[in-house]
Amino acid sequence: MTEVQQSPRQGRRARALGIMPVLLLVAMVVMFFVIPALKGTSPTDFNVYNAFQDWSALSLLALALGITVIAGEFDLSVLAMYSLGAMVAVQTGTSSPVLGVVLAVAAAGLIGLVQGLIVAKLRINSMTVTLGGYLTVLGLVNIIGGNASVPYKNVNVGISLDDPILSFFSIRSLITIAIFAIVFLVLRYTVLGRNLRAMGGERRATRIAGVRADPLLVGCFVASAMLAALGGSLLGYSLATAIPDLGFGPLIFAITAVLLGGVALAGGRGSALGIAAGAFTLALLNELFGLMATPDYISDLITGGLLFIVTIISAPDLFGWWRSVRAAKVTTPEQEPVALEKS
Amino acid sequence: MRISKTLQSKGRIAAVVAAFAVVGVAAGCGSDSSSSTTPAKVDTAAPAETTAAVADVKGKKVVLVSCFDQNPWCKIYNHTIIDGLKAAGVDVTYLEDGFDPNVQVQNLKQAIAAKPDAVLVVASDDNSIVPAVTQAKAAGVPIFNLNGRAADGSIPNLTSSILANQKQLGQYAAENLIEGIKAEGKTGGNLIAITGTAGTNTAKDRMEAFNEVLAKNPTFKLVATEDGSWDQVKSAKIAQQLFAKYANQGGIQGAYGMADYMAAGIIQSAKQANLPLGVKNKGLIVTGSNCFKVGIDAIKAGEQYGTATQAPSVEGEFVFPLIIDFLAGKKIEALNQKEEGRVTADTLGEFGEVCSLA
Repeated sequence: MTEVQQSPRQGRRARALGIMPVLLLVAMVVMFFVIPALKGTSPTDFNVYNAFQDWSALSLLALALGITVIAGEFDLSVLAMYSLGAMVAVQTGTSSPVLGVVLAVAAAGLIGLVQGLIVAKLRINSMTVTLGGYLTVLGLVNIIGGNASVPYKNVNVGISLDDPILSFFSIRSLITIAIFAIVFLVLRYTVLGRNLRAMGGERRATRIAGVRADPLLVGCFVASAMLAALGGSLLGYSLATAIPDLGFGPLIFAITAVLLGGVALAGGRGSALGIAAGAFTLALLNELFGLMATPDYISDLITGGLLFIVTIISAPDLFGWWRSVRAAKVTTPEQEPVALEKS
Repeated sequence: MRISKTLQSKGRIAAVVAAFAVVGVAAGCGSDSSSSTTPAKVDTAAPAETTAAVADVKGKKVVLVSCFDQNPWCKIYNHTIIDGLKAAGVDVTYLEDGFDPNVQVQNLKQAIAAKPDAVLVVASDDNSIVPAVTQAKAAGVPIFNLNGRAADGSIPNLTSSILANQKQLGQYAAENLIEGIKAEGKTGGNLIAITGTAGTNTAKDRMEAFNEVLAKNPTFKLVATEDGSWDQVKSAKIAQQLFAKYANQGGIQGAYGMADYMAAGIIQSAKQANLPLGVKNKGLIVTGSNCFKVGIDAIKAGEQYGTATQAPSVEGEFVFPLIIDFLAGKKIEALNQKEEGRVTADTLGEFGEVCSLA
């Protein structure tokens, strides 16, 4: 009942963009094996494992961001929640790593709740609210960590989390896969997921249809914060360190992964599977950079270029704009003589 | 009509995939980064026995995991090592991380998995490489920590550390400030320090030595130590805030920027705040470190009192002969430290040239 009706054209477009992440991933997998071969080398099992490790380090951050984007919002604070997760887990999880993760996720969830309430109840743009949240939480993380990186004393936890399983996986990547599976099922097969997409696509219509949008929105920000903190706490254990400020690298990865994953920036479209595929495409690309010892500036150029291209191509009005340009070209030769006569 | 719209959607996907393929192919381009730069050489001779060792190391594989070429110090340091090793016939792979600890650990693990004859790492974060270094030891891959002191958890698993003497650099910074302020006829003053990334051993070691010198000169007081994260803009902003904060509390007489480009940020902020600079103007005394051209130029202009060496080319030339020795089967010490030099206007003749490469 709450699904917003799409026109046939919108439906075709949504389906086409829905398979884009899978096609990109397939293209990346092909390149992952072909490009090194051209240089006389080849990826090993370890390279695939390392790509999964990179994926597990950052994909939960992408998922956290992606959920809010699907809901028609944008949670900039995920990056700070990610750092907060690592800091709380590392500081509190020495004797019990699970307790550390629980506390980290709970702390982030609480902050996510506050942000969600502000966005939902006061109808304030989420970018500004979460930008404030980002700065505040980052400051908090620095205070907790004494403005320095904090070592995790239980180094063996990280080593165990990262031990290879079946050559390609680790406990960390399997946990991440499990989280993605849960979120995928919720978004795909429950009313909650359908309402979330509907709210992202057309919030007013969704409210009129009787959906309680506010609790859904608040829950979305809570889930986003908790997912980011979970990702951060796992990374903190893996690195045996909590680093207060990770820079913008993880956020750039997350945004790119979300867009590669077929999530519409305007909201209403996207899936956990798409985000997972987008993140793994990027992780394979990063691993390819490492395998080929690609200079950092070329890696930046490629990642930035990819983000740029995917953003443009998935723009809702791209073909409308292109049609208008073509139409203008057709009519211009007939209009020119008139203009000359007037002058 | 329907077909054309379907084609539009498919065309959109094809365009994305095609664009993606193009950028993916580009990933393979320029991958031989190790040959892109040839830094100027300095008169620092490698140990004599290294020459004999060269013949024994041809074809050996080394992976350098380090900060990126966009940082001028890193660029010269890394490529001095790479060029020195390559000249001896060593096959070098250079993995850049852009000071991102997560990327660095991924690169480090990849390096370890390739089972080279040695892995060299310049840690972006001392603590975050501890698990990877432990794994390297377990995998039997020799691993060398370069430049800054390793975290305690890494040290037992390292083959060797080849470091700049960070404590000397901190000591020289304090000595420069005290000497400069005294040259103005003052007997003491308020000092500030804007450091590299807080919490790293490099920053800790330098500040420890800096404070040891101040302890012997109690009229000089360190009123603020702030994290400038090796960032010139951030350092300038911090300096601006500190100048304002202490304007009514006796002012700031001396400022330490942990790298010369950070000192340049401090100088810029001092000018914006209309603070006089240098001994000649009886103004703010600024010192840097890490030996950059911008620092040497500022010393010549009288705006910066001094700096200290850690010239990237000299540090790099200290590293590669030891690695060649190791690859040739020679035993090297667990800790190798490069002695540093103090740079002021009086010693520019000795250090000016080597400090003007970055």
